[in-house]
Amino acid sequence: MINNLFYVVSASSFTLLIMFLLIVFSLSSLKKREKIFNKISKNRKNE
Amino acid sequence: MINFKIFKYANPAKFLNLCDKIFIYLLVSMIAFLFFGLYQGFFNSPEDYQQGNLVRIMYVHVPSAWMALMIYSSIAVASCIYLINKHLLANIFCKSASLIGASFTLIALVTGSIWGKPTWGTWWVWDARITSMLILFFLYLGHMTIFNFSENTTKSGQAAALLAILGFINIPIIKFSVDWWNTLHQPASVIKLSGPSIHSSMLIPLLITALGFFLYFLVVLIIRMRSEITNEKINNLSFTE
Repeated sequence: MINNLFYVVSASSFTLLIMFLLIVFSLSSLKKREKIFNKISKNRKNE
Repeated sequence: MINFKIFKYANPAKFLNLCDKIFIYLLVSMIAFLFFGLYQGFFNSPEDYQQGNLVRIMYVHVPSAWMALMIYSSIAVASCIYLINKHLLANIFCKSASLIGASFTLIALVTGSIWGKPTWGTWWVWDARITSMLILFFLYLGHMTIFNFSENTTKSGQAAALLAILGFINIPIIKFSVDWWNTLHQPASVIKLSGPSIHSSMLIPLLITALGFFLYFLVVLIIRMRSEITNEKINNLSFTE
């Protein structure tokens, strides 16, 4: 019984971890690119 | 040239405008469906008469496998659209969806392996269904590698589109592998011509979770597509400097 629960918890934790990491990775990548884009746009306006 | 009404959203500005309007609704529905579906699946649905609580792995394994197949099929369709109509957004969709599809395939493989150990007595077996899913994972990896291989989005997009279309042959193989070959993996119990063979007390939480996974895909897809569109803007600005 406890053994079965270990497998269920492992599988669901792995799923939720990958889903969480993917959303965090995608958001950080978006923020990074938006920052670069804003910086370039600002520089071009100043030129 | 094929022209559909939906192509008016092939304009990145119009597409982003639409995404801004629907994003919050998708996010709230995703959280609601995922929370409710997983809660029902893990705490309220009955145990299996043979597997006991182990059957609860189904609520993360099956929706992940469905998503892996669905995302690859949608990439293949978008690849055709990109090759025929040259819509940049179709290419951006393929690039953005690939990592999400690969993640769902990895989840399906790992959770399947965790499920396999107590039920089959082994973590891995070179069974037709499992091997074809592993091939799907490699196809996703190849697709992502092609996109990262070249700075030229058009060239890498065309090569990736060809791989996606050629690799689509693997999708019916995955689906019907359990019928065509004698496999350790069980045959389909939900998506089949004679109707689902699992009880509604298990089927309903499974479908709710699957809907939650689909909404999760849409949410992450919008974030990633917005990121890729921003990247294209950066490249265009850099070229004009």
